Amino acid sequence: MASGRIMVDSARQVRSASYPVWVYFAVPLLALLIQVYLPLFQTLRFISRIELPLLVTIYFALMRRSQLRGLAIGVTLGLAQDSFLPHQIGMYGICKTLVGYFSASIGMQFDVEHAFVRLVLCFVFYLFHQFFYWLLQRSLLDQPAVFDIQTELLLAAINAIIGVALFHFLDKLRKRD
Amino acid sequence: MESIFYRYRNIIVLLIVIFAQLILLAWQVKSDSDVPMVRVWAVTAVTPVASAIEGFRNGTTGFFSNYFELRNAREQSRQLRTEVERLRVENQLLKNELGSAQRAESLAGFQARNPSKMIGARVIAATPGMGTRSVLIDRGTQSGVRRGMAVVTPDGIVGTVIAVFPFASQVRSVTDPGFAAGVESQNNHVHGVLKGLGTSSVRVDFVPTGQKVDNGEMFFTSGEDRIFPKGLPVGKVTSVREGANFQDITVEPSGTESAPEEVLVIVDPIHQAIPDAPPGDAPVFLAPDINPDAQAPQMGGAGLTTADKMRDQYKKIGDAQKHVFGVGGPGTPPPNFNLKVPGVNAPADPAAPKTPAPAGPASTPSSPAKSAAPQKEPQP
Repeated sequence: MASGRIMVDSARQVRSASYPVWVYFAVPLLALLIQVYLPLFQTLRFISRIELPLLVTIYFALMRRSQLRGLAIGVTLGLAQDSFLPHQIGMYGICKTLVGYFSASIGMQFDVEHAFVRLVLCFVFYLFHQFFYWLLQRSLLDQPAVFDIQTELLLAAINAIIGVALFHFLDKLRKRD
Repeated sequence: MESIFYRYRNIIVLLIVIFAQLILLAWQVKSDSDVPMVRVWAVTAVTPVASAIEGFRNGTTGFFSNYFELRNAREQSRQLRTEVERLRVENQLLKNELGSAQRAESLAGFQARNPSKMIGARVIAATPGMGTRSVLIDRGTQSGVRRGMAVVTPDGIVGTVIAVFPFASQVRSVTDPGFAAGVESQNNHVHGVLKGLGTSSVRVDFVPTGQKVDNGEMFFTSGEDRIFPKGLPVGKVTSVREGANFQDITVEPSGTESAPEEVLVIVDPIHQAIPDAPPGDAPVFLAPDINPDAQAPQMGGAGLTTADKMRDQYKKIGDAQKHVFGVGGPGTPPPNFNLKVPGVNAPADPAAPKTPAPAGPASTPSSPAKSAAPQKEPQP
């Protein structure tokens, strides 16, 4: 999976990955389901801090290597996630739209199958996503939200590690050439 | 022109999508409206799966836990193992049912005591976001739930319905930053506005400095918000700090403390008085007296419980033998408690003069034991 170089240097690394159609429905739906169902249990409440919809957005945006496709999956998952929250629809939609677009853009410069690249991108995009959400909450909705940088850095690291494992699993769903 | 558009089409599409969502957000904030169509699609896609998983989990929890417990019993005979497994599964299922029945009984009792009309619902999903708290319940428009209805448990208020779907509703928790409700303290009847903080605690705003609020005091709904009827428990005060104009009061909400699995939606709220005593943590069960002849003790009368009668009887038997309780070292013979004393553990002497008995039992002439009884408490 991981090669020695992290920059794009071969045709294999710029090729867009393709998946069976059911993967595009089942994986985001499963991510949303895990996000809303498992935190019901006292011992599994920490799962609400794992941003599975964000990780799924990053993965498909990186692997499809298309800004428009990244944007589409970002806006879809973001709006779906907004639907389960008691605030106005569009907050997660905007954040994940940007994440989908930018991760597809940046993903074209790197070998996105490299584990280290995935780790760094998940870490950076998680922080970007949380910061931008906080910014929207403060500026657009005028809500008294708190951005605790230490907590967010720790969560970004945890999400990045989980992201690398998740991406490895999702790689197995790719269509074989 | 076309080539410029084609060259920058990605960034143009991004700007259009972002701009559209900003407009959507602005419209929702400005008109205080919602986009039900998007919510209905997403919630309808997820809630049936969540409901099915939750139903499957409820049905199989007992089986799997017992399966793992019984793995060490393989060396036992097959017949006994099968029997034990069957009984344990049955026991676990019955326990689960008992737990559900107790919760249902608690809700039903609360419904019966409370004049408001309510319907029961089950929590099927939690939707915690960044600083937001809400849950999904399995009752929707088909059950008569409407937006803005109050959701409670016997322990306290849980939240308000903010979105209603055909078979589910979204409830904003009291701990959500967007939640607000009118509250009133129990002892001093201080009024304020309850607000969520996005954490497990909530605060009571707009209580002027100088008004008396005690630590540990209960807050109840005041009914001023026209959502929650008056008199429902809200929570206990955990800290009170004086501010410049208003006090900073933190409250531990009692309704969401134990992550309720079943809740009640108030469909027709009716106000009630705030109780003088705080709600108890557990129901009190008073067992009936084992002696059916025992009467309730009366003010100023002698103790009439079974234990009091026995003590009085032994005291009189001891007194009849000139025994002083509490005197004498180890080895000294105890009084003969089988001795028949007329009027105590034997019928009274019928030949005794029938004079009206005075009030004091010690002066009854027909009872020598009583007449000789010193007025001293028996010592163990």
